[in-house]
Amino acid sequence: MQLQETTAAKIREFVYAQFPLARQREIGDDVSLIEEGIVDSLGILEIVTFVETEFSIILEDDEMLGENFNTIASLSAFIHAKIEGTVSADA
Amino acid sequence: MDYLLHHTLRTCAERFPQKEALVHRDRRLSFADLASSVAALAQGLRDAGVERTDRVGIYLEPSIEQVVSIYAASQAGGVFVPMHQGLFAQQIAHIASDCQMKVLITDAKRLERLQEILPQVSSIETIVVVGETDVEVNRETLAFNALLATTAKKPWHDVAIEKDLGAILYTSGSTGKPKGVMLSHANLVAGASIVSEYLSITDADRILAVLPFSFDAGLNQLTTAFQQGSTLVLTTFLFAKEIVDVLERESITGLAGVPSMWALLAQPGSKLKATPLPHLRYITNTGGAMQVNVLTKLREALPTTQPFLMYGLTEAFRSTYLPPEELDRRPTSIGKAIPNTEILVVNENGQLCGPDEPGELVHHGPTVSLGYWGHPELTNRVLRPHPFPSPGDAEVAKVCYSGDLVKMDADGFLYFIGRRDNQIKSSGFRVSPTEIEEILCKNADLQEAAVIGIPDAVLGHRIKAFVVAGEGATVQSDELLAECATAMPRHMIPKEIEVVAELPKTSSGKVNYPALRQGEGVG
Repeated sequence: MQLQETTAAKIREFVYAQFPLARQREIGDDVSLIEEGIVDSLGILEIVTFVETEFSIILEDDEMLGENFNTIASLSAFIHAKIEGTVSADA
Repeated sequence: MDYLLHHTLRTCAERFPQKEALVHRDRRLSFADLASSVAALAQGLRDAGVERTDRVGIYLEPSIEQVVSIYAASQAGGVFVPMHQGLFAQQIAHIASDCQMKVLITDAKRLERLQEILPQVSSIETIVVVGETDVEVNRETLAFNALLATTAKKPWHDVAIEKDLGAILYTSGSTGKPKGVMLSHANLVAGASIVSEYLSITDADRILAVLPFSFDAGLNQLTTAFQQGSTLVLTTFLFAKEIVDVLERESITGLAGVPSMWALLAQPGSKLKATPLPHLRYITNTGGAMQVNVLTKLREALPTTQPFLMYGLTEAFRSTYLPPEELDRRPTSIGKAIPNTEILVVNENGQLCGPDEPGELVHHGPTVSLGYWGHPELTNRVLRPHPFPSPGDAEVAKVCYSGDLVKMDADGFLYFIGRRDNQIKSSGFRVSPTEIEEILCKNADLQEAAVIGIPDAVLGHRIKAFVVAGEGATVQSDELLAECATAMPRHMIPKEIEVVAELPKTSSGKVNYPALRQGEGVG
């Protein structure tokens, strides 16, 4: 659980820093970054690059889904599950 | 004879009435359907008071309505002014006031955003709205769909000539607010013919339009398709795979993009490599150099597709392209002149440069624009008489001094070196540093600001701002960034703001931009 919170915190911090509109509007974890116009296609690329570097994972094309990237919460849950999956797959 | 932009569509409707012309999501229009929608809206615009060379602004998402509006404004005798769907109200206000826009075509959602700025734009008499709206504005409002039901009263008689202004594309320079580059119908039609020629575009092509029509290369996707009778498919995307899906589903044969889009498509794990796209005949890159490693990945993923690297600036529409067979030999070249165009490299003394000698790219040909709307002095700086006129020229032709430094190798191939001024290019958009500085300095706690572009592999330039707080004031860079986010579209927002005690100045007291760039390790 603690790891999941750390993941969420890192993602929230990144989104607030990279997408100033999210900070200005005090976007909560459950607000759609896509519908609010905060993240566009290049924003997705920035998030992907950040996540891959920060968490040492590779995101596959079939994981590039609106539902995974829609909110800070959905992104955190997706990344957390992916890390867990990678860890257990390696084990 | 197709001498006005909308003539090309009319001809396609005669040649291929039932052929698919335009696709957006599940809507498909034939050339006959499209031409009749355009004729109806053109009549509606004329009835609403549009006269020859009146400016008609189009502020819509990529959609069938957006395409119909562009051709209808042309057919009504007006000048279309396509505006990027992501612009904010203040930027729309600037464009509308600057070009004295008479009619604005927008949608209900955007009209709501524009309510606050409408009082600043007295020239707008009529607003045509796509979709239902209960927003009340103090102008004549007409429903787009009601205008589409207008019946064209009599056979159309064009009074315009090809030298008439056809479109204004707003783009930024190195200073101030965006300027409107004026394109004549002759420019638009020549641009379509030239690009169709070197990309061999025919009625067998199906072109995917991803780039916005407010951007010259984006608009060219539309003008070439409807000149040659190709099908144009419109799409917007968040994920690269959405592009790949539509390339496959719609059997797309041609795709134009900017470097940031190719970087998305070349991501590791991208579906592009795993998806056979035998129909995709060509891709074109513009709006900045494509990274060599991205190009390599694209070529591996698309073994039967020909990549064309292109270079152009809005003031001259398109200038050069690198033929695909030269890619292996000179992957960093911007190529040679497009057909029917002469490209010169001229040094500071006004002489032609020798091989590999850096100089300014000068463009001579039928796509040289009419200059900047309302800025004759600036126009005269950029559009000048041909430096080496041909014997027998009664009137010396105007050529475009691009402001881009290039060099030409011994075989005549060109290489981009950099800008002569401080202009920034961020994800394909031209950005003026002063425009961002002015917005930043609206904050009363700031004394001054300076903005530079730092080369970035994906974005072209990454924007960095340096700010100085006013006496006794303190400023936080993250708060300033948050303010920027509400005042400017994403491509203009600095990636970084650094608070400094003072800005480096030249002896005349101006901000020393080269010193700021050198401080960031950029020459």
